[in-house]
Amino acid sequence: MNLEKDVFAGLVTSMAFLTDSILLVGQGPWLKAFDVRNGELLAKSLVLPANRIHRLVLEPRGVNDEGTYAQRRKILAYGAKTLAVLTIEYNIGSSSQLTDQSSHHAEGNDNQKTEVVIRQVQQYGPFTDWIQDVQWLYEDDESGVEATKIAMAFAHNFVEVYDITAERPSRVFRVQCEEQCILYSARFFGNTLSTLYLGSGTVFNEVHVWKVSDKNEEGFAPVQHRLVGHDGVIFGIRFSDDGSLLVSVSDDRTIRVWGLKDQKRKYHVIFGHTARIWDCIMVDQYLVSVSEDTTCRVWNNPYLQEEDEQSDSAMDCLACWEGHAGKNVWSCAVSPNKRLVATGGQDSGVRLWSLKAIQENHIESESDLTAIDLPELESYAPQLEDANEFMRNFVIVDYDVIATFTNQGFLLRYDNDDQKWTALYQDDDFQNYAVMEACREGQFVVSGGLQGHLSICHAYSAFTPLKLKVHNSKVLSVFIFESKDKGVFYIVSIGMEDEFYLFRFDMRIIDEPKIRLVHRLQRSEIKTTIICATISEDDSLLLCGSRESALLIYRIPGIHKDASAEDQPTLSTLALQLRRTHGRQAVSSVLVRPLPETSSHSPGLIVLTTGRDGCFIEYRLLNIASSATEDGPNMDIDADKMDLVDDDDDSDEGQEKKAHGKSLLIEKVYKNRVTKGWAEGAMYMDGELYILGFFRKRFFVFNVAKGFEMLSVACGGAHRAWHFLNDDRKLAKCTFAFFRRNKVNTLFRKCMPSTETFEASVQSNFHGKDVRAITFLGAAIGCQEKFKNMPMIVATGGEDTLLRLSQYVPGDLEGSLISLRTVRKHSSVIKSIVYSIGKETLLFTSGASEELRCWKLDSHPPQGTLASDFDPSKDLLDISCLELAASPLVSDIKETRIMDTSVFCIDAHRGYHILAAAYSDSTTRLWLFDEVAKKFYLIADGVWHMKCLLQIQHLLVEDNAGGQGIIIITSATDGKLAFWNATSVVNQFIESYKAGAILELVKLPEPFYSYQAHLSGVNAIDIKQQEDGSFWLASGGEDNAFALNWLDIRYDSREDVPASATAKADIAKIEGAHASSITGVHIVNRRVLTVSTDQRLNVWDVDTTQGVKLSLGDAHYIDVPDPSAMDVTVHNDTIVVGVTGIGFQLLKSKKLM
Amino acid sequence: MGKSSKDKRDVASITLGGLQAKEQGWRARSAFKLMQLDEEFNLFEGIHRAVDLCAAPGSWSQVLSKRLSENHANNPQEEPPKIVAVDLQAMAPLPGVIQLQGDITKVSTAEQIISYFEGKLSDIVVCDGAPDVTGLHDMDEYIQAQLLLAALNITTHVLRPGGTFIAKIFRGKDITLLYSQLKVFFPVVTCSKPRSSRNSSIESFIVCQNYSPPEGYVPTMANPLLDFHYSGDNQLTGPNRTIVPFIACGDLRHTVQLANTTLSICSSGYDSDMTYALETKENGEYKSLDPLQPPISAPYLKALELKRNNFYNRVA
Ligand SMILES: C[S@@+](CC[C@H](N)C(=O)[O-])C[C@H]1O[C@@H](n2cnc3c(N)ncnc32)[C@H](O)[C@@H]1O
Repeated sequence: MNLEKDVFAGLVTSMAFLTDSILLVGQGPWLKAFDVRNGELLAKSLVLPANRIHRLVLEPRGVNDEGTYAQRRKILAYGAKTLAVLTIEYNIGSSSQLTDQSSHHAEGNDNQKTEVVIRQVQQYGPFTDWIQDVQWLYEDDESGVEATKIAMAFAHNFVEVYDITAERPSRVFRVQCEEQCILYSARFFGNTLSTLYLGSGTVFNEVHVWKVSDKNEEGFAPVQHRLVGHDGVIFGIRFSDDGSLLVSVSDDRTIRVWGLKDQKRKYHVIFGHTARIWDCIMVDQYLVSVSEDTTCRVWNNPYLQEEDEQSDSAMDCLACWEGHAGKNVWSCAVSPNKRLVATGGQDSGVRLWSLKAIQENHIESESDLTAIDLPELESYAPQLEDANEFMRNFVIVDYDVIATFTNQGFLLRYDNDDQKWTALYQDDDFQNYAVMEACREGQFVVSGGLQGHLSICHAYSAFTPLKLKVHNSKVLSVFIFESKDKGVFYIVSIGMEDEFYLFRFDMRIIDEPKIRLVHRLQRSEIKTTIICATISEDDSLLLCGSRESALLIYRIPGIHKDASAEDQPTLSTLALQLRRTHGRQAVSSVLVRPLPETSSHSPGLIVLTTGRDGCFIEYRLLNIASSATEDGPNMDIDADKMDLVDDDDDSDEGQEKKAHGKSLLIEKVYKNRVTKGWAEGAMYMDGELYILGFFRKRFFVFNVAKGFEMLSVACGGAHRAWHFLNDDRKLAKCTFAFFRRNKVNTLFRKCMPSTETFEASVQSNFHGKDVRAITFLGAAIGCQEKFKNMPMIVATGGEDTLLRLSQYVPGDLEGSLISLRTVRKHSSVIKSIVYSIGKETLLFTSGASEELRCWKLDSHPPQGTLASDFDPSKDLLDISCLELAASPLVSDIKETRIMDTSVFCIDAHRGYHILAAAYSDSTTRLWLFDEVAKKFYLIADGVWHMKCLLQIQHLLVEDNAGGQGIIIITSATDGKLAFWNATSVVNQFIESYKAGAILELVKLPEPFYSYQAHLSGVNAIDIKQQEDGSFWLASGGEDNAFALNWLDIRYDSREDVPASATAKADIAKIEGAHASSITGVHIVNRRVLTVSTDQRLNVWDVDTTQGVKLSLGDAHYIDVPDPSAMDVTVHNDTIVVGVTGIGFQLLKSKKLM
Repeated sequence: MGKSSKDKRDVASITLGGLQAKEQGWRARSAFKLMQLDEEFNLFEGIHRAVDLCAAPGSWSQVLSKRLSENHANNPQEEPPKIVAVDLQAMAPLPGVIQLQGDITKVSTAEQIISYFEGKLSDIVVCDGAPDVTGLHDMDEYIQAQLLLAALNITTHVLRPGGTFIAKIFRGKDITLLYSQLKVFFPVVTCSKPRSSRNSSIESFIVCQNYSPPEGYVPTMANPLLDFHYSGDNQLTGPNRTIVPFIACGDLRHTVQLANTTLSICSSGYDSDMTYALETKENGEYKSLDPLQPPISAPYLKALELKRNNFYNRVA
């Protein structure tokens, strides 16, 4: 049949940067080279047939020569027991998409294309044992430019060295480590035999470092360092460039950094990944790790930090990159210039990340900040000449706008764009003292003065500044909150008296702003200084935090009403006071958000406070009567003495505390310490909580959900006057400012500084977990359109519960599978995908949890392209998938799975489809799907196998009288195949349905024919009618066997026994057709294809001249592990085979057989 | 191997095998696999000495102990049973079973096992070993094969000629190489899949009978067996591959007996793939079953515990 391998999607297990712009990727047996600047595939070569590439090792020194190619580099690729030695020749050209030359300037060679040629020099192996690492070795005296030997480390902890200078490589050295055990990982250090070390990762959780050239009396190499501490198998080991540090990663979900030169054997443990860790690279001060948890994380290398520089353990994580789907990031590599990290996933994806950007999130010195100083006094107050002038306070008005009150009572605005100062206001009442708050939304500044005045000034003088006397003496603090009405704000002003005030500030008419006192709020009897506040308009609550660690809650009824000016302000007393919330430390910020809708405790709020104890606390606040105005006793509770209540939702705290007052119930649900310093603020971005704070000499923003530090700014220590403004989750645009030595030190960030020119996704994602179903959509495409050239579309589904529709696009080096649509609707694994064409094209997906869904498929050429012009080799089909219905659950048993389905259209005009489904509760069920009513109706069911069903197929058999028999074939774990006649139950149901009556569910008649095909589960069946009208039924089993039954199947609508099947010959069976269970069979013309978990695809020739004879034609090795499904289609006169499992592989015949 | 994905149901839902095992006092449902293999191959008749490699939590040892004690009870004049059980993990003690905690791929462990037999040879060696799968199938299959080869190596030291060796295998891409290796020592090699092992799981068992080492073969620990390569009589692809016969076992004879549960479908045998209706007597609610005997330690427990205690954010 001459099948050739085409597209392969699967685990990306190895990567290496050849240069800053060329990334080498080992995926399955192929080595690929990509240009990271534009994602272009530059070269592809099959280097390890029948083995996947586990690692790529570049020769340390590259070679420049005068040949056709500017540069040449040798590389080793190994996998399992084989090793390939390759030479890569390349030229670096300028990338067409290169916009910012600076980062690649050194490499780019104008007017030239980047070219890569992979030449296989030699393939060695199979060796006696599994290879765990290889290394290039130079002569001991370091003479010679090229490496002359290769060292190989094997899984039984021995090393062999081969000389590669001769024609045939010869083994020149072998040594077994004294510790004889199996290794899960190993890594060399050193490039000459005399300086070569091996780090071995043993099954019993230890890392051993041994010198390859040492031998003890027994001839074994002794272990020099035993690094003991991991609680699981070691999956990865790396040395630092100078060999002084070793990093290991393990099954125990930790990274450990060990000092090899350190006498004290001190080591650092890093927790944070939520699953196993596969690899970790040391890059300067960072560690970059990849894990089963589908993330790549960047950490501070704790070993390299000064004792006092060491941050909180939480802050060690600097980035959490999530770009892969499903499960596992298997590989990673760092570019030579250390700007880029590449990651390779289970999902076949190859992604790039900017390591540079992390550096930029870590502002090291104050020189990276803008220090803003007052302009010459003369420029805004020439009359004051020698007055003592300096900034008293400041606020951030907008990303690049700052406002300050000066000692002389001037309010000035600074625009960073043109670095100009503008005087906005002057008032002697604001001399020597000002508290300030700014509102970005309203672009105004509220200030409080020494004499109890408030001023409200627009930053661009849109209205005349307002000034009002509020307090008798100095204003202690002001707060501004946005309301739901655009242009309306609330202002809270707190002075020294026993009450404080809430104003409503209305600037909807911009040049006529109005301010009105709406609430007077009684201060707490206990002396406490409010330093932060927030409101909840919906719940009419004002929540404040105090320096003395209290959380104070006021009811402010009617706040959202746009009351007339005559209304008297109401006096509110404290509704609830919670003291000592953050120990005795200040409550630095308070934040509210509605309880998630799904919560059973609505209505209510989530209240979050941060404190200078370094913690944040989350409360659930239930507003039992939100309209209540009655005066209950106000509650004053010491947080330490709150009742302990059993925790119901397993929060990390393990305890929950409740308190109530005035129809408010507050429950502490979570307390977490994020820093040893101060937690100073919090915000939610896209549902993720960020905590702001100071630790030691730095300001930080910490992503709590993902557990990493997003921004860190050296600012000399904690500051009381600081502001931070941002509005995107990556902090690409933000402003941070603090006040020091009479200057405002500011970080203005307009966008991520390092807009590196690279393609973030070099190779796109496929399913990130096992694929269980594959169907070529052949006829289902183009029903609405007449395509001259049909695109090849494949639907896949599996453990990740996603339905994917992808288009095959041929390419020069390899075809690719381009995802057109990904639909997430199933809640568990998809096991079967079938389609049927009635009025519309319908797709049925089914799987675990009895899910069976019907989708309407629409496919068109892309907008602006005519179907006749559509070129499937470059145009992508516009396909949509609209859910029409889901079948009801009918099994009595939870967890019933739909193992397989088969569907046909019985009445295209009316849109009736019959779907047969095999259920794991052993029941065969027949459904009618009415696409007009968008409904499933259960017609009939039957149980016969008494075992879990595995496969189902339908067969339509014509008789001479113009009747059509509907035959259903099922297989199960009992090894049997059964034939059911469903004709009359289906026809009766349809007839009555047309007449408007829905019949009761009936039992299917017992199967009319069955046979024992296999010893255990029949995993795969295919039935095809032959030219002479007879049928072939091919089956593949768990028992490694492949069977073919040649049958006469008859149906007669006039007879009493309307269906029969008789074997035309003995069942032909190949017992050991594969070495493992067969998971797919497909009849193609007069051949049968079988695929098995042994990763072979066998093509069987069928000879029916005398009985049935099967003989093996071609056989192919399949690169997809655990193949679980196969589909075959004929496309443009070629046979196309798709095999899925852990990944996907497409094979194509040269021409039709 | 897909232990992670395919067998999710083990954790997610109740399984009949689990219930049965609990009812009958077995430490793991694996017990049924050995019993079903026995039904097919009659493994335990008249035998006295057994080695259980990779034995934790110990259900195979329980089966061995029960059957060997029965043998002794039937023929008290013969020697008392001797069972040595080995695992990386600690195992709760079992009466009459010598336990050894160690790695079967390590030479020292093998030597220790050999020493327990004091020169006598065992009648049967069983190995239900399975590594923690990583998801890198070739690697997992390699490690599995190494466990099997380590077990085989120990077997060549302790098994009497004519004895039986049983081991768990993953029928993956290079399984024929293992078949070739086993055939060097055993004329009768059968691959068998007990019905209590899931249809969808890659696991099956290799039953090697009538131990007959090649003439002049001297067992040696210094040079552990390393597996075979593809060659003329066992090719990578094509018709010349070493494939051993397959036998399904345990079906049609094994009846389901549960004290506390009723089966809506009571038929020829328990099917580990099938979804059964189960009602517990109490309230008709599904009761979740803990894994029968949880592993005594799991590598990530520490990490979980630290997380629970807020380690990430805690002040040291
Ligand atoms: C499936 S369990 C065995 C269950 C056991 N037969 C029973 O019935 O209770 C597999 C066992 O293999 C053990 N194992 C894996 N690798 C091992 C090794 N290298 N040496 C010893 N035991 C190992 C594991 O610790 C695990 O307990």
